[in-house]
Amino acid sequence: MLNTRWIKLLRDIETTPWRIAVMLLTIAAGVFGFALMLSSYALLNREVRSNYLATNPASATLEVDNIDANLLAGVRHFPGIALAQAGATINADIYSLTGENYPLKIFVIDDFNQLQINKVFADKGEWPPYGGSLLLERNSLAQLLEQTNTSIKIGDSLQIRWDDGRISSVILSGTVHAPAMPVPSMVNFAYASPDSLKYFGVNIPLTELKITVSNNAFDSNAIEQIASQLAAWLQTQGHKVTRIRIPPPGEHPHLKIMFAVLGVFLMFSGIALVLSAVLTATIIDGLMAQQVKQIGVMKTIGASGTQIAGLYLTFVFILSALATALAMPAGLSAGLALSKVVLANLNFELQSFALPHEVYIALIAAGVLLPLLMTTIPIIKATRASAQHALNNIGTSRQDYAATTFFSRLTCIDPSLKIALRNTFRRRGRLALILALLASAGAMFMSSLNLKKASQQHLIAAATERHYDLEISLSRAEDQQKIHTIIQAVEGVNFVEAWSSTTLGRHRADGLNIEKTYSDGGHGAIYLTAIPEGSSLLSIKMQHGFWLSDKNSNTNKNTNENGNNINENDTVVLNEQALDIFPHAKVGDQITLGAAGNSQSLRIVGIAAQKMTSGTAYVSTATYQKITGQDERYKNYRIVMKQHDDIYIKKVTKQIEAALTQHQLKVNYSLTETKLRHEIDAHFTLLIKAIFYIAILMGVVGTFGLASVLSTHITERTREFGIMRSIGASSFIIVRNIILESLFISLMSWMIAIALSLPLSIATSKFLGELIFDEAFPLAVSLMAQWVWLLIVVTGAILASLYPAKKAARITIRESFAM
Amino acid sequence: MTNPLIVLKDVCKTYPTASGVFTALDHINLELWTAEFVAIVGKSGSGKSTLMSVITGIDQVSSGEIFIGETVGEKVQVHRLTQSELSIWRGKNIGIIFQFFQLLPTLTIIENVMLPMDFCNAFPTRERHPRALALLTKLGIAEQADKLPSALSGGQQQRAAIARALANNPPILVADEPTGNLDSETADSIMQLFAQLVSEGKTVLMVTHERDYSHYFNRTIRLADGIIEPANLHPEGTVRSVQHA
Repeated sequence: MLNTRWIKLLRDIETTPWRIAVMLLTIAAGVFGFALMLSSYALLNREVRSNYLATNPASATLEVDNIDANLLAGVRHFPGIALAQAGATINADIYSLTGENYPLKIFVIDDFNQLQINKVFADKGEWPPYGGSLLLERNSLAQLLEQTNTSIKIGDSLQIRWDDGRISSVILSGTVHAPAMPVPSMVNFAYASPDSLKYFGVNIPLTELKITVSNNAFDSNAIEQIASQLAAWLQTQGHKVTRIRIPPPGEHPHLKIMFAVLGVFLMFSGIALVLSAVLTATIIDGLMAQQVKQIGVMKTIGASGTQIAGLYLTFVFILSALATALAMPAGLSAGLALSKVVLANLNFELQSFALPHEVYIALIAAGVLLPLLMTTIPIIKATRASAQHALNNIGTSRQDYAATTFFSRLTCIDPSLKIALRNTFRRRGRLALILALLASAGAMFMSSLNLKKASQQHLIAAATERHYDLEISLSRAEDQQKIHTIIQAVEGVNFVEAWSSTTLGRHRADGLNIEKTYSDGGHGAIYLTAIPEGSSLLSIKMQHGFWLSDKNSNTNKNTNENGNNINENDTVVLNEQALDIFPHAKVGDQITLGAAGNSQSLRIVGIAAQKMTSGTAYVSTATYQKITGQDERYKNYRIVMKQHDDIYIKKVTKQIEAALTQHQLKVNYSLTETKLRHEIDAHFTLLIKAIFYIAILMGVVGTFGLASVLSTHITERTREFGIMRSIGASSFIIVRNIILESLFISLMSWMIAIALSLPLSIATSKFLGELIFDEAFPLAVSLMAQWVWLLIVVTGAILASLYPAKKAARITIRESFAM
Repeated sequence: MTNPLIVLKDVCKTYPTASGVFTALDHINLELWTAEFVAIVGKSGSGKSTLMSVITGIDQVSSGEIFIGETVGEKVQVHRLTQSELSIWRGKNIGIIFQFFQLLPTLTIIENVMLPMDFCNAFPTRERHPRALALLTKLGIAEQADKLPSALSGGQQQRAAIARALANNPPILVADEPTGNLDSETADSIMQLFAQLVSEGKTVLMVTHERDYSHYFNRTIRLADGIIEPANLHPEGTVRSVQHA
């Protein structure tokens, strides 16, 4: 049988089921969110690394003119080399029945059965591909099915258009899972053997030498040392090494961004959990306020403060343990589901559901101990009060605060309203809790929209740097005059300009160029770009120095220390992102750029503050040609159209693609400004949405908190309402005062939220901007966010005050004086 | 001759107010004896409720000393106890009865009576229910045992409050205007009940406005402005017998 004190506690709980339910739900929601993010973080941390490492990613990839079996055998015996493998990559297109073309990157593997580096795994169908067939990466097949709206299946033929324009019918013999490759967005991935390609008359030399090192496999410097020694040896064997790629060892290209985003989610879910504990403390504070007199009575009949505190703390412990027990499994299941989605998006598979013990310990500690810790303050405060204080409690403090004086001086509001407004400040601790809750929710809401605005402004600013509507990349360099003629003939095209770009490496003293590019050839790359003479398609804000084509600056400033003119062909402008491989470079420095197996010493004339782009070194066309050996043939063309709206750009882009295809020219990709913006914006959409929803959830929690606080105020001020009634206050006055008190609190929280949102917006914009685009977004303030949040809190305040106001209006004079 | 049960030596109680320090009790010296039925009377603000509060330890003295206990071994320096010590000591030694009963509304009558036993761990768990029922029977409200306080009349609630005050069998009962909220007939029956308890050896200290009940008291202490009026210091101080109505 329960002791009487526990019976009392249970009966008290029975009288306020809604408060208890809100507390339970609040703690459960906080634990759910935290469990979701923490388990995802822990699972993904392990799974992404293990999935990626399971592919045995290449420590380095060397581009060599031709790799035969003898050379490969020599490499395998080279000191420090663990494994070596030869391969190649070719670009082609898949044609659909509707005439659309879909870019295809084919990775050529010399021996599928001896595949040991950058492993791919058999998924469905044949392994290895037989003659006249290829294997598609499983996600590429799924994407093709979606893009072509057909039912391509294993065993069917695909129409492949090769680099030279020939079209072959190639059998799809199976699919593979390539965990190291990202889920395709524009380019599809396929795998074929050299023999299979010979079947179609495609003879491609194996030029990619992938190696893993036997020692210090996760040390970039050690890898670079082995790779450079190997390159030197290859050169002594008469081979030319044009490029060495050393990606960050053991690190998936998306790992850093993914964990930063998950880290932000984890942080916000942690804040939400803390705030849920704050709300619990607010509700308990309200519960204790109702119990003050009873606590006084219990103290007069022999209860000690510790006994009473023990009752309520045990109750909170049971409640939070129950909420944790309910929410933790749900949060962990949701975390598992999220992890599966993220892993699927990264082309990985979940290998183990097991979570580290630390996750469970952290969740139990956060779910049970945090609410207990937060509620200890109001519980101890209420139970520590003397019996005298508790018995004489009439709900208001005797202290005279500045706010009281301030409101007393206001002559424009009626006295009863002054009482209500003053009372807002009488329980300052409680006011601080509810303001913290509402203001945090508001700050997060505003920050999410500020971040959205900052990213959009940044996108728009980035777009203003690019004065073209479309960039088209051909599968190979073509005579620019020919391409000009074809594109210029399309109705709607205003202007065409040929551009060149290639990946850039850090040039070493021994003549080797080291790139940080990943095996997909895109992530981590830094580019060397040629600016056509007099081009007006790119205008970049200079941070230091001046632009290549700035003739005035050239005349005035482009001189060396001795005052001699510098040849423009010997100059380079770096954007800030390119400083990644030239960390200490400044205007006036001489640097050596390495690209396409060559190098050139250039003087830095400017550092550009370019937005949302990869690291790039800009040089004149002449310098570019000098470094890369490129002739007058170009792969990339930037096009200005006569109109610049999305529909028009899309229409003309299709016409341009059709015109090029008609001339047997293969388009590798075409990127419109809209598509580019969409691609970049997608980085933020999920994150902003998540923060937005967390903020809304917190706003709802805050509204419950506000309702709870108001109910508590009403309980405490029952006598005040009786007095007001006895001197003639109508129900309307009482209801009005409660609603206005609620509105007053919400308005204060709104103002604090605006103030809090500014540093929070700066911090998140800086963190995410630097992480994703290597550049902090400047602060952008969304006034719309502020007004919308005002609307939300005002609506919430009115809703929160309705029930307490109704309750207050029902208090009779007799009831109030019986307290 | 036995020692006094309650001794107040030079007790002062002051409160800071906006207009300066207010003295509620001004150098009170008082002795109360076992099985005395003492009335504390005075105008509103005279300090009678404050006197009750400092004796029960509900409020603390500003200066002076309060000793409770008949023998040296039992004597407690109330003014030196901490809040926690006071609660436990009070639960075992003083039963307090309020004007507005102050029964806990979510507990039944019998649970209200059992609660002090639970807090003070005064009786074994299995004995608490029968003891509470016996007390309620003694006070004539056993049939109300399982009802909530709100279902009872004022007189019944006050009887329940007395039963609760007696739960831990304390030697002292302190009642703050226990009849102030009752009709005269009910009030009279409550006074008789107190007189009976005094005859059983309890010391009862009662704050009251009612002049009609003077015949119940052994002694009446009249307070004015925090001072015991001299005429009332030793009126029937040696009278030990209790007058029954």
